Amino acid sequence: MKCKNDRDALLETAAGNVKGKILAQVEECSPCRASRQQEHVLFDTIDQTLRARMAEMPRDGFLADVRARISLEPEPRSLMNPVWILATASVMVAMLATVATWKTRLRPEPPVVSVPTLSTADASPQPKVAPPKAIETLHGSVHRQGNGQTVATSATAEPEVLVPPDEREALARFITHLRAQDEVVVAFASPAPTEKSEPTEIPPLEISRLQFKPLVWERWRPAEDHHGQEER
Amino acid sequence: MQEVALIRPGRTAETELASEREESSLRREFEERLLECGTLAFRVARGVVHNAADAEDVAQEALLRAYRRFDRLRDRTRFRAWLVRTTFRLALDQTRSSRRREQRETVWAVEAPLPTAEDLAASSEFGRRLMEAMESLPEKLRLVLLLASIDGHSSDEIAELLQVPVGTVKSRLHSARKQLAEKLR
Repeated sequence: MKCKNDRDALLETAAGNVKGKILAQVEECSPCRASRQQEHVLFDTIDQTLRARMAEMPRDGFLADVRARISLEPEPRSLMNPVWILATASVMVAMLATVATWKTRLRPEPPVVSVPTLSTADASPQPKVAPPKAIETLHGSVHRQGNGQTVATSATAEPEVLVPPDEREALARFITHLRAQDEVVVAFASPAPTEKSEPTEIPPLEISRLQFKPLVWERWRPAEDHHGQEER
Repeated sequence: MQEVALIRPGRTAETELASEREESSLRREFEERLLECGTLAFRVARGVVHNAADAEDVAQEALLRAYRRFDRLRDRTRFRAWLVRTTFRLALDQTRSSRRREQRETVWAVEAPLPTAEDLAASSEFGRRLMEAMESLPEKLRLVLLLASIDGHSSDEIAELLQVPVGTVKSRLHSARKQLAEKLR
């Protein structure tokens, strides 16, 4: 067995990392046993010396000196001091307000929906319906501020409708036509009548006058000819 | 005759009393921690610095800092852990600065002061070599070894003090002892 190569392994066992293979070798080989014993002694000496050094006590006046130095310090303040709580709460509220304002400014402007003018062949003047009003019913009232920023509010009595962006224009047109009392649109938008309509009475068929005649060949012959010519 | 109470403007008497009670409670708690951990701080410092007087200075400074931030260190475990780490760092700083001072003084000094008989008696050759070997250890290994030598701290207790897993403590302890043995062989 190569004892020289196992020196590290012996050190491991002496340090407390016990391995069965090495222990078996130590049992067999006396130089290894002696070497391990030396390592053990070394480790014990290290531990004892360190423990002896670390067991040293401070001199008697040590704690009194610490107290004397501490007495020169201001009183430690608890974080639960009401003044601190109030100050912390104020700072947090101010920060939240700042963040909220900042986020509002960063929010993208809502797209302004322009209602397209409909070109109609009918020259008759249509009833005046302001297009923005149609938007009001969809998205609430739309105001323009002095700085040109569009602000949408939802303070309307009519219900709001969530519309996908690609359908806004179509719905705006629909509302315009609805306000213009377009019959088809009104009919489409108005709910179906609930009362049942009475079935109309149909007079029974009179079949007594029917006459049965045999078919005449000559009457439908030309028609056959006509078809035959077309096929040719 | 009516009783008159002097209170600070803007604060009610109840607030004042509550604040005083809180401060008194803090002082009492800190006194408990001081009695419990004062020696521990000294020993941690003593494991790093070269003499007891320096170790006392370092421990005092660490305890003073602990007092200043005691409102955040009221938990017993947290206090001990913080104190051990702070003392160790302060002791390392002290050692480094004293080493630099020694180097400066050596340049100008013609003769180094001879060790006294007491010094020679107190320090054995092995102890000196051991301390030198300890100084060359990485800080993490060194602190674990120091704590294991103080009051027979177990691996669990060291793990709690340093806020690291027990396995890490065992591993560091093993490496530290092995490295020391290699240096001292």
